[in-house]
This record gives sequence, structure tokens and C-alpha cells, in this order.
Amino acid sequence: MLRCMQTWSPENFNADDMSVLERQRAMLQRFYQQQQDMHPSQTPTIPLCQYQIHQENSTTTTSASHHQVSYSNVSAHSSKNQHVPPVVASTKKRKAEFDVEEGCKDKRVEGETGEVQSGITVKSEKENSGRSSRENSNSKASEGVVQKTDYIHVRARRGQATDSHSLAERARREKISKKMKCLQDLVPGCNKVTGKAGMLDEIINYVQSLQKQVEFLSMKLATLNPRLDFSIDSFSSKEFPAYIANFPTAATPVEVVHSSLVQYNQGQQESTSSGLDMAINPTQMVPQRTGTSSLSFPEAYLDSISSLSQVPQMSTWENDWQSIFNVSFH
Amino acid sequence: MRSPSSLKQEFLKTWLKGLQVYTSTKKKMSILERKKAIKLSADIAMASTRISTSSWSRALVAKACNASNSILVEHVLGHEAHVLKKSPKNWMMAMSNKRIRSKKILRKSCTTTRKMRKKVAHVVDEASLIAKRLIMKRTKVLKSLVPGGEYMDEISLIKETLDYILSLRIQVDVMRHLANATEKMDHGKGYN
Repeated sequence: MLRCMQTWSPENFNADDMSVLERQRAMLQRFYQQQQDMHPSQTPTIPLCQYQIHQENSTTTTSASHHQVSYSNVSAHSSKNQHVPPVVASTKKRKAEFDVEEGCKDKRVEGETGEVQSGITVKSEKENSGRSSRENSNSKASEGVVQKTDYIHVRARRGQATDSHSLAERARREKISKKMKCLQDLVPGCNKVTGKAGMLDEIINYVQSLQKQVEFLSMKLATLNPRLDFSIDSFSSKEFPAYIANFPTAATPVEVVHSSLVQYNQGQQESTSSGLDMAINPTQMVPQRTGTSSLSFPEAYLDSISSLSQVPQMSTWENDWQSIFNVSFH
Repeated sequence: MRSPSSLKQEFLKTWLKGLQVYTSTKKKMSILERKKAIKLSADIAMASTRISTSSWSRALVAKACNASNSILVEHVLGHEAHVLKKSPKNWMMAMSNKRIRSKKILRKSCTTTRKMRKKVAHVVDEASLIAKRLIMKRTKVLKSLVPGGEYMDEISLIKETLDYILSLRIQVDVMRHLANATEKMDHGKGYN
């Protein structure tokens, strides 16, 4: 209503020559139009009233036509006047729809004002085109409501784009960065690197080293067991759980990765010495263990080939090893 | 995700089951053949522990099926293999279809963005373009490393990479321990 008065005032200012009755009529008419704009579905009777007024206008006086002309002039003038604010209002409305950070009440008020202002723009245009665009704006508003429930977790800060594409993109990027953070915790030496490219580099290196380790270990097992029958007859089935229970916890995925290789190495040695191997004389283990524990680092993987050849019991395999590595890894 | 130790146990069991195929059927094998057998059985065993949750494992099994190792796969996976035997092709087809469709969408969006970018070409700076290109290159490499990665989009690729790294670690751990144990066993036997 207040808005109606405000918008009516320029008309009042321009149409001084109108009589009081005409002015009242015009005011009433505008008011009805305004109401219709605000509640297009609720009040089917108001357009009827409006048409009656129109008819009265056209039939009673000749000045009515003059009034209509001036009215259209005024409306054109007002549309010119209000051409800039509605654009701002519409963007504001959109922002209000997507901005989750703001309070609900605030948002509603802002949305309502936006709607009212857009209604004014619609009204200042021609009647028939105005109707379709009004419907359009209404459907847009309902869409906004739907999207509000969909993207409730997405936050648009001040100055960020708020259309659905960029919102979806932002949600996707957030998801990726969350996952990347997980990977950063998982991959050793990745938390020092900044930037996505560097992180991807580290991840690639790590995966490659792990895959090579698998390759290497399978090769090692193949050389150790000429008949591929390991552990089925050599370990009794009772020893399995006890053996597996002694896996080093340092290598478990959930826990923090040890940054220093020395620590990792120590954990390895403890676990191996506490496992099945207690029965074996530890003095005999020393050269062997240094040989095998050096294999456990992904970084020292290539160096391990040279260190392997220094292990005394492997000396018979030495030529074999070299030729195999030439075949499989180079 | 289950606890790592239970995963390790399951992996070891399935791995040894897979190796039994070779011990029961095969005669003398060369060292490279043995190595290949061990690696394949370990990979399939690892995949079988995660087959219900991840797609890299399914891709790995499908690849093993295609490489005429279906006996081993069947032995390791048991009843699951029958389900999978039909599914790998379907899965691949579905993935490739998805890929084609997503490519189409991508092309469409690329053209639209290009249209838009023409207006703001001067705004886009060189540095971000270079960074984007670097990331693209690395993503491609990562896709080639993770099994089935060429069919994934970026989010699922990272998710699968996480899963894959975890299971690779478990695999490496179990294999290393088995290697150590057998080595020491042989060593002990030799001195006794």
C-alpha cells in the first residue's frame, strides 16, 4: 500500500489538471492493480472491478480519455524512472534466495520487497506482456524456493556468483578439496607441498612406488619359493592370527604416517623380532635384516637392488637378480 | 571401513587360496612366471577384499578376466565370480556409455564457455591457465595408474585413489611380512 502511494505520487505531480474524482478513481485503479500484482491467484474478483472502472471511465466523461492518455504517459514516465532500481532488486532477490548465511526472516522480507519491486516493473509495462512476465517471475520465485532446499549446504559469500551452475561447481570443488585433504594426510610428504599440481605429483609418486613395491615383493617371493607353496605347510594354521596380529601399526592407514623413515624402520624391526622369528638366533639375523629392512622404504627402493647384492646369502642369486631387474623394471 | 588387521587377514587368506591354484596345477615354472603368478593372485585377492565398495577393484578383476586368467579369478572369488563374469562387460559398456555421454555434455559446455570466454578473454590470466594444464596432465597420469581410472570423473577418481592407496599399503605390508617370514624360515632351516 505504501509502495502504491509512492508510485502514485509522480502521477499526482504530473496530473494536476485532473479533478478530485478522477484522481480518486485513478488511485483506486492503481491500488487494485497493485493488489492484483501481489496476489494474482488469490483475487479473481479484483480484475472484474478494474474492468468496471475502465468501463466507467470510457463511458462517463470525455475527460476520461484524456485522463487515460495522461495515465499512460505517467506510467511510461514512472517506468523510466524506476528502470534502474528493479534490476538491482532482482539481483538482490536472487541473492536472497541463495544466501543461506542470512537469517530466514531477513531473507523473506528482502525477497518480498524484491517481488514487489519486480511487480512494479511489470505493471509499468503494457498490460498483456506484463501478465506473462509476471507469471514468469512467479515461477522463478518458486524455482528459487526449490533450489533453496536443494543447495542448503552451499554458501555464497558476498560477491560470489549465485546462479545454479557456479553453485554446483563450487560444491564440486569443495568436495574435491575435502578428498584431497584426506589424501594429503595419507600420502607421506604431501603436507609440505602446496597447490593441487604438487599434491597430485606426490600422490602419483606414492602410488607408483607402492605398485613397484608390490612388483618387487612378488619377485622376491618368487625367488624365495621355487614351488610357490609358502606358508601353507611351513606355517601351521594356528600361527596365522598371531602372526598377523604382529603387523606393525605404523603402516596402518588410519594412523598418522611416520615422517621419518628411521622410525618406520624401527617399528618394522620390532615387529619382525617380536613375531615368529624369536626362535631364530638374532646374531644370524643381523645382516639379513639390514638387507630386507632397507627394502621397506619406497624412496630407497631402487637403492635396495644394490644393497641386496651385498647380502651374503643372496650372492648366488646375484646374477639372476640383475638380469631379472633388467627385464622387469627397465 | 573395517579394521586394517581384519582386512589383512582376509587378504592373506584369499591370496593363499589363489596361490593354491598354481601349486596344485602347475609343474615347473620359471622365475618370471612365478613372479607374475604371485603378483596377479595378490592383486586379485586385494581386489576381492574391496570388491563390494570400490570400482577400481572391479576394473582390476575385469582386466584379469579379459587376460584369460578366469580360472584363478573364479577360484579366488568363488560365488562372486559368477556374478562378475557377466558384469565386467556390462560394467565396461555402461562406463563407456557414460563416458561418451559426459564427453558430449563436456563438449557442449566447452563451446558455451568458449563463447562466453571470448568476451572476457583478456580477464583470464596466463598463470591460471598454466596451472590448469598442469593439473590436467597429472590427472591423466593418475588415471592411467589407478585401475579403471580412465572411466572416472575427478571426484570418483580421487575417492578411488584414496581407497586404492589404502589397499596397496595393506598389500605391500602383508607381502613384505610374508617375504620376511619365509626368508627367515628358509634361513633357519638352512642353519639347522
